[in-house]
Amino acid sequence: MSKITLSPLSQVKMALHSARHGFSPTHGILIGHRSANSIHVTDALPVCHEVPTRPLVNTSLRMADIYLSDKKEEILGWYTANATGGDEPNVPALRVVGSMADQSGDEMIVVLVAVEGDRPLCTVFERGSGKTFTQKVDSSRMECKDAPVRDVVNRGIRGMSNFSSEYGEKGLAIYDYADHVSSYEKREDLDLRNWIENKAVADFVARAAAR
Amino acid sequence: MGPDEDLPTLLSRNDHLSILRYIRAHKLREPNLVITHGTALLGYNATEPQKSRPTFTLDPANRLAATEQLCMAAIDLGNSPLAQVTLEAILLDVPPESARYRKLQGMHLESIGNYEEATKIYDELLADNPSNGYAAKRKYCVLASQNKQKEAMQALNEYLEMHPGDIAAWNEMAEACLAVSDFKGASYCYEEVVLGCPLDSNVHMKLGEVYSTAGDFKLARKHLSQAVLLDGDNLRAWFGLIDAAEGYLEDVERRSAKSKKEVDEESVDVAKELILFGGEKLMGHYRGTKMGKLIASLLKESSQTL
Repeated sequence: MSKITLSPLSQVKMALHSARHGFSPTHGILIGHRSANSIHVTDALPVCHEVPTRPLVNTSLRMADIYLSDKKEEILGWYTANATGGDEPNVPALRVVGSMADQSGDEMIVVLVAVEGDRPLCTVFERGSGKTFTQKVDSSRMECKDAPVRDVVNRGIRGMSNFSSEYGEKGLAIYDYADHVSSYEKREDLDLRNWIENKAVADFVARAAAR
Repeated sequence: MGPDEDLPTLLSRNDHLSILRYIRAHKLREPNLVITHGTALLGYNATEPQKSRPTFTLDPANRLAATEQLCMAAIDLGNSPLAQVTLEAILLDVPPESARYRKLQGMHLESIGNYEEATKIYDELLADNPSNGYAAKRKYCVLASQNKQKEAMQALNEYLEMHPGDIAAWNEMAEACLAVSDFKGASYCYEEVVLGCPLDSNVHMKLGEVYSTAGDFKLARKHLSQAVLLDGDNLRAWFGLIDAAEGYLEDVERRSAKSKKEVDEESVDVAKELILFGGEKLMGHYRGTKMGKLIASLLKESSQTL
């Protein structure tokens, strides 16, 4: 594997998911496409803001598979943000991505997200010689710019915490699979909490890119 | 503050004392509101605490309660100078050996990262009173926030030995076990939570998911079934139940391929019925929604494997 690209949309989604659940670990699926010597992550699908269990992981991965079945994209790996810092992905995330890699036979990556502090927003790990996903991918193989994405992330976080007219009454919200299947008041909420598309965030990133 | 008055009404009247009382009575976590109204009521300056001119118009009981509340809010928001000033004000009314004051001191030390001194205070409180649950819990929090998982779980275990009826602590221990992938430990803890909250659908759901992750699909089915019985709108439990039933069938297939042991046909039939029944119930919720098509494909996949 040589180059790895993380799209601005995927980075912003991972960051907003982590920022929304500041004191909990967050987890999600990375999707995109592979070419001869590179991996291009185009989007991130938030799964949960707690330690992932088998039903959460299985059901969300199956839904992601069905979503991607008519697109030229595939599942590329897993992302996570630790609840209390740390320089490596947490144990549950390593377990999930290890299992994904063993079952699919494909190369997978795991991204560690860090919204606060001086660390990079997204750090990518791949499988090392010890078979765990703790080998950091060197920055020379990464093709994503941190600084412009950080500005968009900061605006997004402000959008989440302010009831801004730009985002409607509920503010800019990002939903994961766990939010989607939590108790809902009316059927329309199931589409509003569409964790696969997260249209509000996608539109927000598109507007930010157009500026 | 009358019995019918809610927080928005009190906020519109800017009734500082009643707002603080309401927040205390309802155990809300609203540190920003407490700082805004507490500083206004007591005469503190949130941005330049050293320039505060505290007033003493309130009776001592109300003043002390409000000052303690303001101190906790300052600690919560990391406003160390304000926390320090309010701690000094509390000392005007209580002796320094007061357990309640020392608890606040410990929390302030935690908030500025001085974990060693904070732990010393909590150890002293526990030496004075070994059943001081608060000090024991803070010791756990100090270790957890330093990412010392093993020591934190040990501290929480010691707390639970003294206070086995604290359901919230069992829940916390369950999450700590999950974080280190100790599913057996997590299931034990969630069983204690279920004992305390037997009619809570989400608790049965969590326990069912943990059993499913640990590979005990029969117990997973039991608790996930109970979860949907208690709350038919618990979609996560429905999806979990289908996944557990599928897991059970895969497990049976794997075991029967390895050994000639007789298969429990009734249990297999139950699992298949659960998949179909769960699918029907889920489609009932998703009918007419945009996500319905994707869910229908997922459930069709599940039923085709039967």
